[in-house]
Amino acid sequence: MLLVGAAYQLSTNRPNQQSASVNAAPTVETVSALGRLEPEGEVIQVFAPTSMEGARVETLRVTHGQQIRKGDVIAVLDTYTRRQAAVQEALEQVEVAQAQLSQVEAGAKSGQIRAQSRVVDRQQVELQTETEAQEATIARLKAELNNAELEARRYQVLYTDGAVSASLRDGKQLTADIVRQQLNGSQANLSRIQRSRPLISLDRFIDRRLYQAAGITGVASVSPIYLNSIQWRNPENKEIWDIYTIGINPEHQVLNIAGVEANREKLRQPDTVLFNLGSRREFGAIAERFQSGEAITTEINERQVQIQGLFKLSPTFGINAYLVTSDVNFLRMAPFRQGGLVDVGVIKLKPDADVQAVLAEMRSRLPDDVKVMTRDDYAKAEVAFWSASTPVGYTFDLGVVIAFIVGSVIVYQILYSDVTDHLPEYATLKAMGFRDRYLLIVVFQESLILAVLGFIPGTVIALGIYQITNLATMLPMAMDLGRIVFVFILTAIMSSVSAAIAVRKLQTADPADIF
Amino acid sequence: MVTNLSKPAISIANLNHYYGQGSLKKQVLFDINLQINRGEIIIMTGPSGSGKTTLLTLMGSLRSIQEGNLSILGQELLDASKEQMTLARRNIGYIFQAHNLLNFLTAYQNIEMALEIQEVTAAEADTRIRTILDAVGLEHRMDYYPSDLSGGQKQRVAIARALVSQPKIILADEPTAALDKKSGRDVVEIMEKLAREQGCTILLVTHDNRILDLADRIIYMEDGYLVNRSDVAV
Repeated sequence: MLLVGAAYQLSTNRPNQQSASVNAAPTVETVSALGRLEPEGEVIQVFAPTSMEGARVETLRVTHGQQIRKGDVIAVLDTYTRRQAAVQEALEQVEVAQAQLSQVEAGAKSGQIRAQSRVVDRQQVELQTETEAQEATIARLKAELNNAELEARRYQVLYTDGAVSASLRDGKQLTADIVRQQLNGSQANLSRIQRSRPLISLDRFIDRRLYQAAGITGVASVSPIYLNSIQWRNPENKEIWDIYTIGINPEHQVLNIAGVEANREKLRQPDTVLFNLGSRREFGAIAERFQSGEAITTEINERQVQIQGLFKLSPTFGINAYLVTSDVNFLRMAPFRQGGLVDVGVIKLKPDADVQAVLAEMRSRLPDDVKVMTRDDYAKAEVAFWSASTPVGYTFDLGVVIAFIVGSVIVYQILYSDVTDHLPEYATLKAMGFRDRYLLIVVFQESLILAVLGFIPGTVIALGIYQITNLATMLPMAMDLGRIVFVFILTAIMSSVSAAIAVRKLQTADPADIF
Repeated sequence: MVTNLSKPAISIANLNHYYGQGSLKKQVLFDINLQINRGEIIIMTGPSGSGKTTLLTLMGSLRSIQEGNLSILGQELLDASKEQMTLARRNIGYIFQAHNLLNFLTAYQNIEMALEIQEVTAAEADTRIRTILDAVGLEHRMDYYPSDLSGGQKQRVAIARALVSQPKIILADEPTAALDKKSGRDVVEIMEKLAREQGCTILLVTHDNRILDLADRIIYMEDGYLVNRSDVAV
């Protein structure tokens, strides 16, 4: 602006230029300009905390140009005394809470559980209320939307007829749109509330069920268990394998495995796991290295974890290796899993509780989204699943059938050749007037003796093979009395069938044909 | 067992028997008619393959009758059921060409087997076994297994076994075939003596001319026919 002004001055003064140039040139004495001053260092802006109460500066404790350090008090607000009182009060509350905590820790377990179950009940009621309120809101909004839409349509018609203005019609349309959006929002809310209740997957359930169960008379404690396959990196060759991870509450005794019990406390630390002694080689020689005192760290689902102990659990057809960790660590290692959504819950009863009664009570009190079973029933269900619903079970059943047929054929061959060898004797007995039934009983006895004689070494060999299989695959191989009896009955049936077939030759022939 | 005493021990009428099936069918017995009375001792002789053993097994109810009539102690065996045939065998003591003893039983136990299907008490059975063993001269060998006995001794055990149940009929198929002259004669004499004591009927098949003198009657078989030959009669 200044420069333009000067130029104008020069151009408008042109007629006098000749004479000016003759005279002495004008001297510039002062120049005016706008600008900003900035310090060389950083500018620190100081604000009073924004507050509803509208705090004001009461006293300023610094003067202009004074050097200050970090932590120095610059100003005191008028709310200072009030705030200090609040801090004091909060500290007192902390003390009270700590006292309560130590009280709970000191004992009063049943009281705690009662309190817990009250909380659960309250939550349950809240959930119910929330759901109902939301449903009411939705109903109201639906009615409103209906009205608004009717109104909007009516105004649309009126507008087309020229009876109302465009702005009035648009206003009605807007109202309808707003109500529709409110309705959508409410429906989303309701489904969010409800989602926290029933199953998300068939296998998992919310741990709230467990706390509900804790409130039932006879229950001593409850504990959630998280289960999931998680990616394990073999620390030796960096290969990734799925490892079956069990997340337990490290404060509770839920796994009756010596190694887990001994090291349970260590799982309180973050990113710690226990490794299964019987895991396959593909997972790395973890057990050997750990036992030799090496600290082993590896990656689980891209998280560094440290092995804190070993335990022994046999692999199954579905699981090659296990990890045990705390529930908190589990959720860190499996971020895809939602906390509070557990796979299995362990409910421990008081020693004097009537199991069936508590079971019935739980089944009636808990919704259908959970299954309550005794440990034995759970084991049975697991066995039934493997034997009925998987190819493994079918393969084994088929094996039994094949073994039965092969065994029958072998016993038949033995008996048949024996009957043939002694044909003259049998024929002699027939010639003496012995009935076929007598001969059949003789052969039956022989087959049963064969069955028993074969069964004894057979059982010993089977036990040996079980042992070898167990050593080779670490699969749990159990030979119980029931199985032994079952196999013996099968063997006896097999031998009897073979005997009946083998003796047919004797029955049909006339003794004279046999000589 | 109730038996009709008025009936002959064995009665055979128009008996034919065949071996094989279809085109291979071959007749081995032709129109046999024979009546054997109670207490008779009959020796049947004839060349090998003339059908003696076949006829004997038919009489012993060891083979089913195909054509003609054959009755044992009044019991018709044509179309007899298995059970009837089994019961008929219990009235007959059959002595085989080979002794056919059970090798895993002692002499005593072998004889005991014959009494297992008879209704006798254990005490009576024991008495009868000891008596019969004494009669065949083997009381000192009763706990011997067949493998420890000589051929003659084994055949004597077989005779004792056939006789111990006191059958009405004894059928013997060349009991002396495997024995030397002396023991063969002994065996048959024992048989005859016991049979006469018990009053039972004996039919004995043999090639052995040395024992023909013991028979009440001799019948001769040739090529499946029964021949009445006066020249072989004593």
